[in-house]
Amino acid sequence: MSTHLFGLTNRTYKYSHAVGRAEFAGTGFRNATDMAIAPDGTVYVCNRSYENRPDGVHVTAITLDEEYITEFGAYGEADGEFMWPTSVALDSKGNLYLADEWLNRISKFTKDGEFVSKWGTAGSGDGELNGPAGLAIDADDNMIVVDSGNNRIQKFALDGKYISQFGSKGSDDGQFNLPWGIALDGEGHIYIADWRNDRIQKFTADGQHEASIGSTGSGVGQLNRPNGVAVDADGDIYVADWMNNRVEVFAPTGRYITEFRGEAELSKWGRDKLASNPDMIRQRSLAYANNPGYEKNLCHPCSVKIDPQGRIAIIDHTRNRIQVYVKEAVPALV
Amino acid sequence: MAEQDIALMSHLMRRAGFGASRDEIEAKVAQGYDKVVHELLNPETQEAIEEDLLIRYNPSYYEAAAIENNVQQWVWRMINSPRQLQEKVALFWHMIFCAGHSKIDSGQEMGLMVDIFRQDGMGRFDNLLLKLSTNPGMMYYLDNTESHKSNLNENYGRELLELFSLGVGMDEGFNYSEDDVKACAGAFTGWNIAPPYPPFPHGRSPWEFRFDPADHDNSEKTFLGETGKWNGDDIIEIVCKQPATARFVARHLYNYFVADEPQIPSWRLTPPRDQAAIEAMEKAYWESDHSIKAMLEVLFTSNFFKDEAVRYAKVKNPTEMVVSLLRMTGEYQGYKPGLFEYSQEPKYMGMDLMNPPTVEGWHTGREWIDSGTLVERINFASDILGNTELPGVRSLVNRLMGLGDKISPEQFVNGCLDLTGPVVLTSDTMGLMIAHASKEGDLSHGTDAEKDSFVRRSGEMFQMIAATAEFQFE
Amino acid sequence: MVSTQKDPVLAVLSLSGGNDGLNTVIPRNNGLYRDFRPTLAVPEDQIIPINDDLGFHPTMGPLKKFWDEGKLAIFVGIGYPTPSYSHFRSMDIWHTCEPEAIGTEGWLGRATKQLDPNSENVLTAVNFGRGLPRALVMDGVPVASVGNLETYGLLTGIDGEAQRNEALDVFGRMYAPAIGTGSVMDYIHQTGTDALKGADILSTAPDSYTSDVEYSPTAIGQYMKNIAQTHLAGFGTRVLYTTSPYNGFDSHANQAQANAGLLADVSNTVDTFYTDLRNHNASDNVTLLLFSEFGRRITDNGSGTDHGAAGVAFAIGEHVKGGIYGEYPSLELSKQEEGGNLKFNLDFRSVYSTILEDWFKLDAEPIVGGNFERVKFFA
Repeated sequence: MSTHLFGLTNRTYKYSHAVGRAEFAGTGFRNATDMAIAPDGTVYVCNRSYENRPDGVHVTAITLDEEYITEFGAYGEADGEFMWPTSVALDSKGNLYLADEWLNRISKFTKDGEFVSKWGTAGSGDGELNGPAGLAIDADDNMIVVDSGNNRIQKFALDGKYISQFGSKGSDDGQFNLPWGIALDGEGHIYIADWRNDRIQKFTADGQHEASIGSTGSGVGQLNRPNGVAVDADGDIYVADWMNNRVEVFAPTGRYITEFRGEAELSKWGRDKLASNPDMIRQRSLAYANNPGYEKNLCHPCSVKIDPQGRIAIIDHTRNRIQVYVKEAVPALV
Repeated sequence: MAEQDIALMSHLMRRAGFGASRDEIEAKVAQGYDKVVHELLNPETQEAIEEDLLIRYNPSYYEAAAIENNVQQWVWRMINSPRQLQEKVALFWHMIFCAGHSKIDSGQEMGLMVDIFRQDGMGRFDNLLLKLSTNPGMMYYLDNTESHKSNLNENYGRELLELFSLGVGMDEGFNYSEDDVKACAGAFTGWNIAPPYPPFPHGRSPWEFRFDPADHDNSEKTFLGETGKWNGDDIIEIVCKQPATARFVARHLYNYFVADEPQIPSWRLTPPRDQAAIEAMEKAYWESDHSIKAMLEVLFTSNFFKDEAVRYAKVKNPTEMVVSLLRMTGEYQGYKPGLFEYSQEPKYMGMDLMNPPTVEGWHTGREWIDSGTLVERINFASDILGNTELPGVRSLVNRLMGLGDKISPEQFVNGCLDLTGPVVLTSDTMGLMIAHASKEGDLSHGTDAEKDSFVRRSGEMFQMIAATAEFQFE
Repeated sequence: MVSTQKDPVLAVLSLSGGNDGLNTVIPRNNGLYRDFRPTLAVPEDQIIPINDDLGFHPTMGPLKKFWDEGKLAIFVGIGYPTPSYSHFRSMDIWHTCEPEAIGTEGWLGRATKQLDPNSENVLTAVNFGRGLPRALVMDGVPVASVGNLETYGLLTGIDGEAQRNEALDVFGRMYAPAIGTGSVMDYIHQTGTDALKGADILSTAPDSYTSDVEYSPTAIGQYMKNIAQTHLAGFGTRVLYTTSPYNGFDSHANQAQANAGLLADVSNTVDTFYTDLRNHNASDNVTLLLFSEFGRRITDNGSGTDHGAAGVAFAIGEHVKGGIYGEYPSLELSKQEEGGNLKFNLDFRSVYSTILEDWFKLDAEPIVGGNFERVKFFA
């Protein structure tokens, strides 16, 4: 007997667990758009919420083991506040940077959430911003900003000093249409979720186009408004395929490997919530029997990150939780 | 461009949409009235809202549980949709097929219900009623989920006939009997909802319609004189064949798009305000196999609609007041924060969107206005129309300046009225306005100081116009 | 009925969002309370004792003063049959007294109609906040709804006092009743004239007001100050209504911190309000009612509490007979309302009926839609 892996060796994935519940404060999230994971395992989740619930707008610090650490930030324009947060990133010292696509500014916080400084000027000139949507910080502590409205990628020093840029509006190689998420691999390549072009583009560190992955659609390897991207230690690429409600996995060559549609079970905080609402336990059980997939599946996933243990964490935006997958060295029994 | 063409086009856009900026009105006059009507009636010929952008910048709009987000999203569509009649028709049906958030307690269901009105509101009436009768929010609101083969609840069956299709009566007769109500309710037993997820811990799921044959009363029923083992869809088919239904829909269309009719409960005894208009729309209903669009086409191209006597003869409902001003002033375009407060304004004026007081809906016409709501209406309208920082208002001021290097108070008042409507004032009010404007004499805009004064006086005059009794009408 | 300053007045502060009764008036010696509230139980030594069984939340010291004076009625286990867990629906039920059918008229709208049947005073009932709560809605009953008393009026967007006065002068003449221009137009003219009259009168309230007390800068504090100002101005207003910021008490998460702030604000504001009225010798004819649309779940969810059933309400006033009214609901599992809630035993319509009959001297039955046993909480 022979196995037929068709070349897709060494890749087994398994759903691990879910984290969080819908909440405007404390032990849960509200319309989270991105997260950054520190080497010590702290996960900073950036909650966008909405303007009639400004109490839901903040960064929540947790662990993927569902320990609540703290929350900071608030809705508004003052120092340490933000209105339309899109993304977060950490520097080598553990400071957190948050991009606000309405205020066109980057705010810096310590790892404990103390506001440090802010920078950013609206516009389209060198170093100016129009709807910053993705943030990454490279090994040399340069900040790379997806300057979405200007359809370009800009590189800055951490204090906001402009360094360089690449990209323009369009659909050719190296052009963008309202790009959103960003990832860097171990070699410094830059991956951009080119949102309205339904593709991921890979660049060298200095902005040379190397490859594009994906096309418009809902089929295998296709994308519908991808907004988050991550690359693991093996160079495999994970794409939050936002409107297709899945995460697609590609090999470093761009070959399609598999997809995650979501398999969430109740999180610890979710169980706590239900425990105090017995009538909802009853209602949920009937709903679950009718349609288990509804609760398990990803709904508008919008950010993927790899944690220090190599786990794949997905922001399950509309369900207000994180789904965690593991890539197992020993093949997983499904 | 002829003044009467501008006046007619702004009338059309106020009624078939939520008004338009002066620039848009002029562009539409250039297109021609019939062409514009055709576009309004065929939304697919106009640009669609870019749904991906809407959700990207307002991610919480997707499957939003909170009612405020659904109201906000709707108001955004009313302001920004190029398919104006579609949104206006959605509001029309929302004011007839009334279900409210206070009972349904899921903003998402209200949003989904309104989406039916948006997508199917101009199609075949049979189809619309079927969509309504399989809408889980409505089924719950009117207790059809509590109506069982063994234990009938007549609420939906009754309201379908009384408020959603036939009406109590016409020409002094009655349109249905109590037995018809029972037969109707019986036919809808088993039309129910699959169990949805509760709000915790991850949010409510959208409700799904589910037919339960075991709970359906499949016995023979006599409904409006026809006997058979009627199911709900058979009832809808029979209802849509009734002359009373054509009459009912025609009167509602007239009441909403043309001129205020008497309050609905009096329709059995009170004949239509314009019998010939109603008959013309009824004829379109029959000839088009029950198409709402066909009725609207007759309406918008008829003389009874274009007639100057019906212009500014309807009291603006609060949503029209708010949205038309936001459109005219260009205050809320595209994607930006700040819409929540605006979307609450109709509520302050007595129209809590997606939450009508009862299944009978809001009392319209003069009943929109009391001393509390009038203050809200006037202050909102004058604050926004008088804000010369707003792009739409700025453009009106520039047009006023275009009237000449020096303009008299009369020209100024007339210009302001023309650009904000054209609004027609009674001669008494007109006199007061001109007297007020005359206190500061002629207007020029040569020097910076003159310009500043011109802008200030324009803003003040717009505020005064927004405060008139006439401005309460559309 | 002719209104004078000494006619009884009702002020209402609605606590929007569902206040957690269990952590407001706490069954401090009940072991189950601590079992069900692992995260949110208030430590025993911080609770302010009311009697052998109950105590106030630690932030409610200022309200305790009124208890000690014998002027605070505490309603426990208050609610209605078949609880609704929807904010909107439950608030509607409190507003309209219609737990089953959907009602459109508010109990205070009906009461206002009886207090001033011919709408002789446009200010018989005044609401503070944007939009009219359904409690005050009734056809033909004019109710002013005041977003901000300091700036209330028409054409408030016109800069410069002289300009605005001139505009208002034009407005007054524009809306002068003009008979014969069509019935709807006549009606709007009359309404505009009434609105202007109401605004003119109301706008004098802040000017004539002086006070030694300082209200908290929160919305609750400022609206209660507006209520005091309007009452002290002597316009003959009988019903003064306000609502705390929308769903502020909806403490699903981080409740310990959020509710401590809110309860402190409410308690301090009530204290300030009565001190203010007493300093002006104007407290004698004012009763203040505090209520919320529901209480919250018995068990906490690790961070907050979710929507529940029976809750607590308060009445405060010089003629209020202090005491606990109703029975504190059992926390035992077998005695809970469906879904882990406190079961009501005191219908809110009993409290309303008492206010209507014993305070306003009105016939309660048509207003609350039935006969409910009165709670004798007026001395």
